[in-house]
Amino acid sequence: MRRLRAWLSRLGELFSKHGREQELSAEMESHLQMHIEDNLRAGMSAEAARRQALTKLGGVEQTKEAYRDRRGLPMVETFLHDLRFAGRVLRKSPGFTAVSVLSLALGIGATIAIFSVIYAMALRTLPVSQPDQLVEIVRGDEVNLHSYAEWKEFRDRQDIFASVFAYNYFDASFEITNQNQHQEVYGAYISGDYFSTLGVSAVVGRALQSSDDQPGAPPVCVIGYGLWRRLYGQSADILGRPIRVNGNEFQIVGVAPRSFSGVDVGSMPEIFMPLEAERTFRDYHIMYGKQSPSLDNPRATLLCILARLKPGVSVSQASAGLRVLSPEIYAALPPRSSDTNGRAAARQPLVASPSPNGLSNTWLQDMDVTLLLIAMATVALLIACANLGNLLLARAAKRRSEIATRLALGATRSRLVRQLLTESGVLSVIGAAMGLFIARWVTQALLWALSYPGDPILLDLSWDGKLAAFAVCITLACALLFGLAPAVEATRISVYSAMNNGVTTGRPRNRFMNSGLVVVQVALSVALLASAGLLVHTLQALLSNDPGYDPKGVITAEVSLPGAHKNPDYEAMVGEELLTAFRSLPGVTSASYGRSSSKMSLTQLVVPGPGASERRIGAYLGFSSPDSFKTWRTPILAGREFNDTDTATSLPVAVLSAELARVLFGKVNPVALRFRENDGDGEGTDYAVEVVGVVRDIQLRRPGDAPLPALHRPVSQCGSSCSDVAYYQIRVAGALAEATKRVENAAATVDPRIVLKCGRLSDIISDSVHRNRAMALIATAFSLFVGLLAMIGVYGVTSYAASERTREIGIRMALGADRGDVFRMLLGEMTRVVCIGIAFGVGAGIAAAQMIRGTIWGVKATDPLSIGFAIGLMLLIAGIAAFLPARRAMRVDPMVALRYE
Amino acid sequence: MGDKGSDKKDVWQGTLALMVLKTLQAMGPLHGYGIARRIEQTSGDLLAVNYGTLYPALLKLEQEGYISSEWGFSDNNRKAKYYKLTRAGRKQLNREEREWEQTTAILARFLAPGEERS
Repeated sequence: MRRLRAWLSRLGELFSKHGREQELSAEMESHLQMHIEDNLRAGMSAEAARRQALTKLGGVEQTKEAYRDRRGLPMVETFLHDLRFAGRVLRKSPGFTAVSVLSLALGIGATIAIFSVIYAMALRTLPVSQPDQLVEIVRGDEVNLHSYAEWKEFRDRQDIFASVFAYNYFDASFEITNQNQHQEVYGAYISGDYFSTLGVSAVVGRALQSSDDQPGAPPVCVIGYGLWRRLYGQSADILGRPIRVNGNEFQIVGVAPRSFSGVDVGSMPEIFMPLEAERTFRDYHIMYGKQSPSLDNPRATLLCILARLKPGVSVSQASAGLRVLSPEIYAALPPRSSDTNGRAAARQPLVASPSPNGLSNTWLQDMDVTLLLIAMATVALLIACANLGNLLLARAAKRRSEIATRLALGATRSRLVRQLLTESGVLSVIGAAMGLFIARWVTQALLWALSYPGDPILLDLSWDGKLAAFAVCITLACALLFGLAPAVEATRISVYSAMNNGVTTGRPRNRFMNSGLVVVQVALSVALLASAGLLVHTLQALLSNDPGYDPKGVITAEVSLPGAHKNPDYEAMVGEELLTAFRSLPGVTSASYGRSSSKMSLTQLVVPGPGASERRIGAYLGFSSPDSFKTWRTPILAGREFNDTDTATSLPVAVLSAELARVLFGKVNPVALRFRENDGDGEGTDYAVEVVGVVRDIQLRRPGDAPLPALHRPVSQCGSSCSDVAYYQIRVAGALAEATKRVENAAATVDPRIVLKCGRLSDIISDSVHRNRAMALIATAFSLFVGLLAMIGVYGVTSYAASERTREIGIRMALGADRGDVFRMLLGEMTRVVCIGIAFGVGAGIAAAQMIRGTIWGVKATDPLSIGFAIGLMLLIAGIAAFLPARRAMRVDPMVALRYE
Repeated sequence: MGDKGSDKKDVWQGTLALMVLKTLQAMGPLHGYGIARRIEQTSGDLLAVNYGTLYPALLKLEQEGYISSEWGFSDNNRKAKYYKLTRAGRKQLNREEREWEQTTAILARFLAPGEERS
């Protein structure tokens, strides 16, 4: 209790130092005077009295110091003092400070960003109750998807788990209609016990239950928190409100909690529908050519199954139970069709696999990308720290005499090291603070790079204790890493030699380390720049690849008419009306539309082979309107394209893509053919078509992929085999945004029930090269960053060398060397180091190119342009970095140099 | 002041603090010089080192609340800082004195076992 009082008063003393010091001086002065008076009264002489009193009082300074130590908190005071001193020092050299803080910020920021993404994706446990009791039901061969029949058998027979649930997030995108506004949201179909097994309850209303997941149950759903906020403004009367999903009306019975983002990391379902609800969407799905519902399709394996362990049951016990249960389940399922070799494939037993972190497919898929990112961040951080260490060392050399003086005055080495470490600590903290800002951008960029266009990765990136602790640890580690060695080195000097500025030869050990570091940095920069060049080239090549059509200036519109498949004639009429309407819009040069096959996108064509056998060839089947190829600007290589003479009743015709023509007929011009179109099960009807033309291959997937054979048929002849959704292409002259609005208005005029989704044709190509674009950007950014670090390294080492050898320079000049010689000497040494680095870098770059061979297209691995550019850039920045300190050294007055202090 | 012989210093500081309190109790409010002289008289060699060591000890006692200080004037009209015992200081002194009696009683028993019953 007393100690606490003492401590508190000492704390208070931090703020009122000055007064106290004066008081003590006054008190001791009066003590002295009183003692002298007593001595005088005792008969001593004035001088003896004073001397005796002083001796008896003892050392004034020591008393003052003991008093001071007693009065305040010495450790805190010295720390504050160090901080102020560090602030002054850093402010005096703003260039150094800015550069250090910047490189630290980039390194720390990138590291924090990468770690927070990895943490959110893989390490963070689900916000559900007791996530470590959750397991996923997988098959022994790692296939994690089940059919609906399998799920039902499992659910009805199992006794191993406390509760189980299944969900489907494939095809779980729903069209929400809210007052004539359509939007697409991602959601999930869930079984009745989803929420109860997870232990998550709704934040408003109730969660879905098993009674909602029965055939014929009233249509209800639970919406996500974000959807509630966006669409309904978080209004309190959300319960019971109707929501139009895929054209059907559902009732909202609850809202999921804000922190709940489902079981899959990287996706955030905004709406939860019962599994059985899929039956309701049958009409909607058929319109899009989907076989629905997947519930009754034994070949549809779309469900993930998770379960909660019973208390006291371990994962291995559960797996053992599953092993016994699996044959029972499989026996109850319809037999699987034989695979291509005619054997019925055996089924692996089910296994329980713990998943407290949820399922994060994105993480697993991108493991190599993520590892690459971690490696990059670590390398960047290490190099930044090493760089700073070098720079600090160089600066400490300049402060040698200051340090020597302080050592001579009695400061301990540990005290000085503590002060130097405080300087590096301050740099780290400022760098980390800036790094936090940078981390936000880097995280956004990372997520953008890792996701596919139209399928963004949504993560809960909020901060929690672990992330904050990580950030703090990184900062401290940095401070120690680059601060400790120079601090220790700087104080390890012989006081005598330093005071005399004696034989200060550059320590050979340090020199080697410095040059070695520069070589490493330069090599790394060159290798990265060359690789980045290759990736940029690849991107260019992909984008300039001829896709077989002209994508510029074309609006795409996906048109669907709800319920149209019930009346195909009406649908055809509306289709034609729309085409006429679009064609008559101002600025439209041509328009067309097409439909895909309603069965599968890959059709099997059967043609006569050698002798009496048949050949089966897979081809893409699409139906297009007349003048389609004119709108697409796809060259017609032979024959003609469809026109108005090709109707439902005229001769069936087809146009082949060049690849299909080549595969079918070699170089011979094709003539009348018989095709059998079937849907992959061996069944199908034969029909004959006459080939009327051959067109250039249209790039269906990524640029650079081999062309796929495609069969085009007129949309008027598709009968019932085409989907109800029509894809329109409208080529316009002029601004696309206005034209898009006109298109939308035109569609509304024809029939207000039409649902229109507009886009641009150029997006297809742009989206397909998303990955390449992302990689090129990341590689370029990172290589520039390392290049900047290399520049700092060269600058630092040259400065250091110049200041170390100032005396030598003075002597040389005095002996007759002119300024140009000095300049050349310094620059020449650095050039040699840089060239060694470049040589290593070119070698490393070529090796790296081999490693990323899979992602390069259209350029050689040893592309001389990329390598040459990398070398040139490196020479330029190294030249600039070395030029400035060399010029400064050259300008030194030899007299000053000789007397260098 | 370094960290040499911290144990001895603590014991020394403790004894010095006790003597300051006793002095103030016996003499009433007194300035630093007066306390120093008085302790020297009563304890002989204990404060033979130097008077300066007194001031950090006085500060510690003040921080712990056992004494309080006030600037005033001495007999010769010299400005001096006077210290006096607080109520907490008085209580602490009682406690320490009782402890000391107990310790000496135990010590006496050890030193002269035969004379216990007297």
